[in-house]
Amino acid sequence: MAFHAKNYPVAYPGQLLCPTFELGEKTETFQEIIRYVPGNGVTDEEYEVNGQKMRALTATVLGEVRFLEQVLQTVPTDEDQSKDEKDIGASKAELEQGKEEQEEEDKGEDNPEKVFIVTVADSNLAGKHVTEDFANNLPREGSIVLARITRISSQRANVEILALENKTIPVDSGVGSNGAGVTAPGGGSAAATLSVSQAAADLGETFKGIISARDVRATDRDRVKIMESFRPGDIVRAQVISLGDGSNYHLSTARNDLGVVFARAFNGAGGLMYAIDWQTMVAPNTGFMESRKCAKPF
Amino acid sequence: MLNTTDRRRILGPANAKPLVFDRSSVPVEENQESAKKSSVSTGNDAIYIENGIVVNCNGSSYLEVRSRTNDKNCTLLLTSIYGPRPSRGAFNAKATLSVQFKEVTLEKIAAGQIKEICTFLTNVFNAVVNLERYPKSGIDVFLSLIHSSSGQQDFELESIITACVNGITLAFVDAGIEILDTVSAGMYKRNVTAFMKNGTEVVGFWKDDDEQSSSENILEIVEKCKEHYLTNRKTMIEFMVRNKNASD
Repeated sequence: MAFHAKNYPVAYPGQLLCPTFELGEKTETFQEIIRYVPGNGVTDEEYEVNGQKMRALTATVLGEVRFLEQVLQTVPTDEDQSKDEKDIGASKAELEQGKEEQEEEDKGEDNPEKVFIVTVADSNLAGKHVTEDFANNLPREGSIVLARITRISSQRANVEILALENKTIPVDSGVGSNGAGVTAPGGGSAAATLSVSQAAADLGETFKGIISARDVRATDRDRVKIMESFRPGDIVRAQVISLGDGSNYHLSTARNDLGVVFARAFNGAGGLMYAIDWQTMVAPNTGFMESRKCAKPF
Repeated sequence: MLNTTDRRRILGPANAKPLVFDRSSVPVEENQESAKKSSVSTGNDAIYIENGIVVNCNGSSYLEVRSRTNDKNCTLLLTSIYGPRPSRGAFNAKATLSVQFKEVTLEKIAAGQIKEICTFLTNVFNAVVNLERYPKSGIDVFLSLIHSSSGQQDFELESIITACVNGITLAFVDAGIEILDTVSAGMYKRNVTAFMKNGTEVVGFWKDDDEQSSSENILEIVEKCKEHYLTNRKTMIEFMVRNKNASD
């Protein structure tokens, strides 16, 4: 029986879960290879068994074991793109879906390798849309974070990181000039899951970041005015571009779906504002407009 | 006073409500109630374990270990872990671990020896915690020794260190911080050895001056420590799994 189909009891740190790969079904034409990749709460360790060294996946936290089959990402072809552009009727969509499924099956047979990501997680946290497990989801390159602007200057905006979108879904549209990144569908943040930092902002215990003026937007980079893009107190959706230096992460909002998501008018004294285009927000009860670098809301 | 503005935060109007993401999370008070108890007798010494007593830290454990020599005496140790939190200073791709040890009641151990204990424990857990997972952060371990057994000596350093290793491991598990193995320590006479991977790897070895075991081979000492380690590890895993199943 394959390891991913087995029933596991509660895993504790140091418990051996499975080898890094195993051989699966065998037919005359092909031999299935099942590969296991360590995810959250799992590590790849070397063990010595009867004098022979081998690598195995080991749990590193207490919780339930999960196997997630990784669907191989296919490179979009011209045909796929033209398909997207067409306005397809419901019946036609169904038909195409059927075709796609068939295609996938074909690919499955061509590729004898299956990849599973093995994770161990606390069942109380798993399946929740908002987790408090910020500690095990620290920001890294490429992660999308929600941050609050704490201070601005002409060259940069300083932020503190409040939450991290820890599960990203392949994009279907709304990707800006940074190319094929991963965002929530449509670029909005509502569909993504978040890990919320529990650290108290007043104690200076949150992770800090910097958005420098050249990373605010993708066009006209040298004419960016921070004052017209962010104000202290704004909540910004940004992407981590590097771990930065000792004290700050480097963040960027140079994408359509990144930028200010929540802002109050009059430096925080007024009401919440709504984005009316990518660089203007309006306060609905006064009608005043302020300039911000807004995130695409949908 | 008016011209000294607080640039760090904007409080907004008095009736402003903070941004709340989800109310489905468990209230903090329940933590204390859900802390499970365990008293497991493992042959000659019994261990009492409790998790999550300290509410404001990321993870904590409380250990009561009965003395080898005197039934009425025991080592009481409270471990709390804070972090990973942002570290200051130079960039570090891995987490930095710090261990602080304090006697909260009677202070019997010399300052130099406390420092030695801290260095020993830091070395052990540097090899055990999956530090690569937590870049740019610091993890702080605070040990509070509430009581230590006073047998023939004024204090028994070896039983304190054993309790520290076991206590820190349990606190890391409670905090959900990734550790490579359920590390535990075993002692024999005045020697302590910390093991991982079911006793196949040694992560720490502590030896005190002592006449009783000075004639013994070091490998024999390690073997004797391993026996104690295996019972300790079994107790800890049993506790963790039982606690987990009870909370589900």
